[in-house]
Amino acid sequence: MVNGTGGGDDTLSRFIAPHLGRVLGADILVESRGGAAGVIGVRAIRDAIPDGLTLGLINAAGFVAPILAGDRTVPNPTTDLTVLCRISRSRHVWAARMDSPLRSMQDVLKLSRERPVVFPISDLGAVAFISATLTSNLLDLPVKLVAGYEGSRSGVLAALRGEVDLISYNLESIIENIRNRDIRPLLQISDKPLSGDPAFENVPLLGGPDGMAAAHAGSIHHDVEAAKTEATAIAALLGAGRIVVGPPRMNRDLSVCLTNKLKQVLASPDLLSVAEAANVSLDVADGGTALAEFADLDQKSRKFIPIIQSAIERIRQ
Amino acid sequence: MFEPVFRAAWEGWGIVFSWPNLLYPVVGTVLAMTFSAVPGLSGVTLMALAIPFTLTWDPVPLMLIFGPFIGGATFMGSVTAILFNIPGRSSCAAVLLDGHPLAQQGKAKTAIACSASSSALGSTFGILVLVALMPFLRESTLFFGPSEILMLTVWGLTTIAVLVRGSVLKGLAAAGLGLLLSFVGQDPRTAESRYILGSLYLRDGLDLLPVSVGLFAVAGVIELAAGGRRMISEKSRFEQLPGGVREGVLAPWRHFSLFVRSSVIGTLVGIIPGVGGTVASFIAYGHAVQPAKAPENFGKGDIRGPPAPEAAVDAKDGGALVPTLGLGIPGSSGTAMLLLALILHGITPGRAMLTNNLTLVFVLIWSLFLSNWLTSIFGLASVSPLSRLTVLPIAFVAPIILVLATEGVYLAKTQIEDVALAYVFGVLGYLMKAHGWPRIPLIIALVLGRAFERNLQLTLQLHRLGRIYFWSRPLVLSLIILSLTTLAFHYFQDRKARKVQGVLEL
Repeated sequence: MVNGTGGGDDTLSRFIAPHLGRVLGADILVESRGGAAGVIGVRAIRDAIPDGLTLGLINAAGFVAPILAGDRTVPNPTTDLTVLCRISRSRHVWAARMDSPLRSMQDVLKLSRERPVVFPISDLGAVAFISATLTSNLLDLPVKLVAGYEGSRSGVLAALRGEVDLISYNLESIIENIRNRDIRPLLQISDKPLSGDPAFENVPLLGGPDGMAAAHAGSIHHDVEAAKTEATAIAALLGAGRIVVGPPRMNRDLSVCLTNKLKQVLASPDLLSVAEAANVSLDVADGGTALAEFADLDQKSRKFIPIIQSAIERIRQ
Repeated sequence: MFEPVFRAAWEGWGIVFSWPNLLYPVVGTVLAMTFSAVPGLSGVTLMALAIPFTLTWDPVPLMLIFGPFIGGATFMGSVTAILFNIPGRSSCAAVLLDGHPLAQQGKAKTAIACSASSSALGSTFGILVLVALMPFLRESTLFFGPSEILMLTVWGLTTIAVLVRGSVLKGLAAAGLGLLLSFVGQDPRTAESRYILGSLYLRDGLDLLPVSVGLFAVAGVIELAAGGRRMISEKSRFEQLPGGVREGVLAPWRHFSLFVRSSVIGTLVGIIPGVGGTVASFIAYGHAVQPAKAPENFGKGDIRGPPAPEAAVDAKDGGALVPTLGLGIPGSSGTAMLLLALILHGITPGRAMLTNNLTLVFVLIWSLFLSNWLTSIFGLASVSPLSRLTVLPIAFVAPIILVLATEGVYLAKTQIEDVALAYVFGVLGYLMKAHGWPRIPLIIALVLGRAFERNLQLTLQLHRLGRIYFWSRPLVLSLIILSLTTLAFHYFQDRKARKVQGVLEL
């Protein structure tokens, strides 16, 4: 576990551990190795002996984002680890507080013609930073980022206090606030609907043929197909999801065996119900598929680097 | 507005205090106490382990057992702080500042009893505020923004001006060092690394638990080993120990106004998500020092020292439930785990829970209430055997303290670097003590410096963007006035004292 005790990843690990232990016929110890936004834990996995006795659960988007932001201390999941299995994908949304004058993306576009739209972020390597920067760039929205809010909870409070206009977070982190009608989703950063919750009815998608990206590109006579491709790439980057990894250079038979056992565990009804209750969107894929997706993502997201670097420069100045 | 609240409160009370439901908070309290007695472990660890096992439980027993886990055994972390200078968690570090000197005077019984009663009363205060705020939970949470937190930390930092009296230069230098150390890690706005010496470990900043364990517990062991002292207490026999349990139990009542003010600070800080018990306890400790007569006695075993941080830390748990229950936004790591457990049981915390499951909310509240009192009662019952530890020979106790300190620091995050950090600060703490440099300004500046910087950065950004108007916020202005009044009060008190001294010398 590359995060501290408590929280979603820790709990998910503790749910998976006894099931995995049963199918492997082994005792599994969940150890928290938090610190430096998970880098310490990932480095511990990277440096372990690849004998199958050390595995880790990591949130890939949390590592891809800092790499794009130029952080050289972060191990790259595609090259520095053995990817065994993908468990879930992240689903990012933009939202505003329920009594905000911003009730739709049309209101957001109208506001952006008067002044920049204000978002909260924790810091310049955070997924929320990448999400707000890339999506607003695609839609030509001028934005201002207020950095220093620790996590999605502080960001939601900032929105509720009226300190910021919009928030951009993983749906898992804010679904309860949406269900409580404290905040209203305004944009689904995806090319297909992210949730069946009634609050998402009529909430536009960023990607897809009828998405905001295509509509915006069409309205300013830009390349619609390129905008759709970019929207898909942003959604893939933000939705990279939780993956189970091991140290690099793991024996192929061993990694295949572990992948199969993990997939068997992740299909168990107990785990499915837990994931559903915890609002975790299970989307299981084997390591090869996840790795191929990462490699593709790695290529596609390179074009985002100048956009991100320039946003970082602006904030640091 | 209040009628459904009272009805639900009564129903919740009936559920908690009925058989066999009563067993859950009792068992939960014993488990939480056992965990919390081990430095480095806490109710949060217990909750992380318990969630998978309680998945099939009904919501009522879940609430009954999670009440104690959230904050039922907070006081246990203060026991090791008082006896051995080892805070069970960083939020208990402020208790040792006067708690351990009391133990050294042979008054461990008084200090532990004082902590136990302050804990029970503080948590009761926090819970009463929570119940009173029940119809306004959402509004209460949204009242505190970065500028209010900023001024709260500024007010806390003014304590240093009081603490450094007598050795101004050394005190200010220690506070400056504390502030400098609080900047180690990443800049909260730009994420640029500062003073990390190329180490990933330092990127998150200096963790307060190893720092406080080092500055006080490890330094204390070195001092004991070097000083030729035979036992922690000045007295060598248990029968000679001067402090009484009664004196400790009555301390928060004798200093009732201090207790109430500290509980208010704890509750307010609890309501603000992400600020935490450590900040609450140090602000409360500072507040105990600021208006006190003879503030120079603080840090040397003043009985007014332990109740302030203890009451604040326990009152914080009630406050932390305000954003959790009102908005579904956890106010502490404990309530974050509670939230997760609720979600896994299909209960949506926030507005929906307050509308559909208000009785369940009160089951949790009364379970927490009962657990805090049970912990304090168990704590009081064990005062005598615990205080005997202060008359054991140093040759026997010192290695145990060192092992407990090392184990506590390591268990909290299982990072060996934390142990090294504790030892480095142990040497620093010993040298500071040996050469008359005060350690309390250093730890206060370190604790509050981080919150100060983050909220200063946020306030400046929001003010520049026109999202907040710093000078038009009533609470901000009140806190500015309070900080200035505190400084002016001590300035004039100092001048008066110097004049009197001058007349006497003439």
